[in-house]
Amino acid sequence: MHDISISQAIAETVLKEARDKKARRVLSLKLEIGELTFLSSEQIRFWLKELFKGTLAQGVKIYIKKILSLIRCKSCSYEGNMDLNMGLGDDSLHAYFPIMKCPKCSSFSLEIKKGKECLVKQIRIIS
Amino acid sequence: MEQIKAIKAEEGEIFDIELEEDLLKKNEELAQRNKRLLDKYKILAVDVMGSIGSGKTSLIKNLASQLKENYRIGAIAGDLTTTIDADRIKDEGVKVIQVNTGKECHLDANLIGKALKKFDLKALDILFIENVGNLICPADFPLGSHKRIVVISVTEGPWMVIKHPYIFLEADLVAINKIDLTKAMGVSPQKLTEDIYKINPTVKVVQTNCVKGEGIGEIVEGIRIKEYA
Repeated sequence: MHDISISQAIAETVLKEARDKKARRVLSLKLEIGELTFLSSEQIRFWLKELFKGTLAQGVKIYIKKILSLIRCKSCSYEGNMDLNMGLGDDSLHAYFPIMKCPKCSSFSLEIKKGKECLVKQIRIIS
Repeated sequence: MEQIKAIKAEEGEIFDIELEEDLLKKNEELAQRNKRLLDKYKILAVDVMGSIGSGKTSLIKNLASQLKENYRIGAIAGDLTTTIDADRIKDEGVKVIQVNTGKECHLDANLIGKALKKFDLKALDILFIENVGNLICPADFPLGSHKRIVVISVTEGPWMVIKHPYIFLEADLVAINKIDLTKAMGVSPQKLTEDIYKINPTVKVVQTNCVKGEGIGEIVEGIRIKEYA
């Protein structure tokens, strides 16, 4: 996936903010990532560590909070989580991506209310 | 006497900055801005996605060739480093802007916004956007287009759809290309079509042979170009 380009965008956002605030160092970074983005926190952590080498944010503590999905079905008004294990019903393929349908009435007409976030929530800096 | 260097305590204070910056949402906002700009000039934008070698450029060439008599056509060609695709489409007399993404695996709304500035928007009816050859990443980065076409081909084998379902979710039309090679490949277009419908029951599926221009008329109908442009 595009975990590296997302990581670059995160790194740029963090470093720009740190420079604007005249930080000497960035101590910690809080991210919130929705489960429907299918971004891998392990890869993001890895790339951020690499990207921050030799910058103000080298060695920063990274906290990643996973945001669970929340959908609303436009047909039956079901509101709740999506079952991410709901694949194509074929065990020979471990469908990594779920089929986006309502767990109650199987409608495909859904509104995604949560789960697509990729949020740089907070940074802690020392001035 | 050797001078003793005092160790200075680290000055300054620690504080938290709330950023609340959603990076994917930022792309979506830029995509909406692109769409508003396109709507202002009444331009229909079609995002063409698909894997490497599936026939995205050929499809755009064919569509341009069929539509150029009645519409003014432009294209944005996304590629990692070359201008081969842009040159091929240009042969149809279409105004082409090349976007090289470098190492990026997809186009994003920001790049499209920049490319749009290079067009004379008053002189366009239809804009084709050829995405980078990739079935995975472009799905997450809307560009502001009105229609999304996914191109797959029978030469990619029987599992192409089922292995990359995500990109088909928001497609308006899927072209199954190189249909003339079906027999040689032993791949069933019917099975591919069934797989596509399982993921997205409302999508339109068209079989094409872009070398001979077969199925192109159906695509023009399928994405209802005439109603828009």
